[in-house]
Amino acid sequence: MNDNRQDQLMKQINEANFSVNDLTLYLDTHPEDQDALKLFHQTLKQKKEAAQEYEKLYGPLEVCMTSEGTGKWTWGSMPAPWEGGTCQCGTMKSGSNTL
Amino acid sequence: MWNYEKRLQYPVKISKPNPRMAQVIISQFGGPDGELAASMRYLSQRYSMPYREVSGLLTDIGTEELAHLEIVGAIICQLTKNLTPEEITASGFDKYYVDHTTALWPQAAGGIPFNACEFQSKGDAITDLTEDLAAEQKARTTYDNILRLVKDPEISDPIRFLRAREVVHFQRFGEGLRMVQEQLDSRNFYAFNPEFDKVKQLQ
Repeated sequence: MNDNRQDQLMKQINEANFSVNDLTLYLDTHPEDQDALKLFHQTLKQKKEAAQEYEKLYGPLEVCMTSEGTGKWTWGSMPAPWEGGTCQCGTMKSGSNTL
Repeated sequence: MWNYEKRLQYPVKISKPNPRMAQVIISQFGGPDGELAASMRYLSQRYSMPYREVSGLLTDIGTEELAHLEIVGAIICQLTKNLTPEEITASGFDKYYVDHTTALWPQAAGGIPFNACEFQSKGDAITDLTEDLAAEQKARTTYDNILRLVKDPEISDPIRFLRAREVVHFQRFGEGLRMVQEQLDSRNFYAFNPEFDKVKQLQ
């Protein structure tokens, strides 16, 4: 069940952010297009909301989204984006020590 | 500067390794018309582009190409997992494997290492944008060639996405070129180079 919610949120993030990416390029060459501007802000808002919910449940997608108060550095152990299919990374058994 | 988001612009979920396809697809990682060439081309050209809107376009498309480089990397990573020595030898992947194991290293499918000579940053607004238009078509053709060889829909799905983006980038660069031309003398676009000349030098 948790996986379904995670996949669902990631799908929302991917779709909303793709719209943001595509419209960024379009607005670069059509800076006066009001419809595009409106859709850009709409889908940016959708992306931010989905990403915020994702971060609360599964950890930050961007380092600047790291929530304080959990007392843990989660950014470093977030899954690598290229994992999936046959590719899996493991977490380190012990952190690096300089002493 | 760049921020990083720990997700792919388009998902890659390949369940069946295929080192033969990895050997082919690596051209879009480090080949002459691949995503590394594209991103370095646009991100290099942007500094001397005198029109903010067009240098902004170069930054934005260049950034997206870095995201595409990552998608291609993910495809190759997933295609080369859990390989046996027999599979490596039978697929022809052994020539790459001996030098890199299953790490990613920028080269073309035929073995030529990535090289700055594979792109230009010429410092002339019309020339650079024309180079960029060609680059997007070369990338599209490369993806078309890959799609003819791929049978597995888990591989062709992200490849089709990347191909579609090249077509959109081509469109945007065309618009960028027109924006530059609008700033120039329509009786002679080549009268001077807006990236360098302060006044008309050439007639």
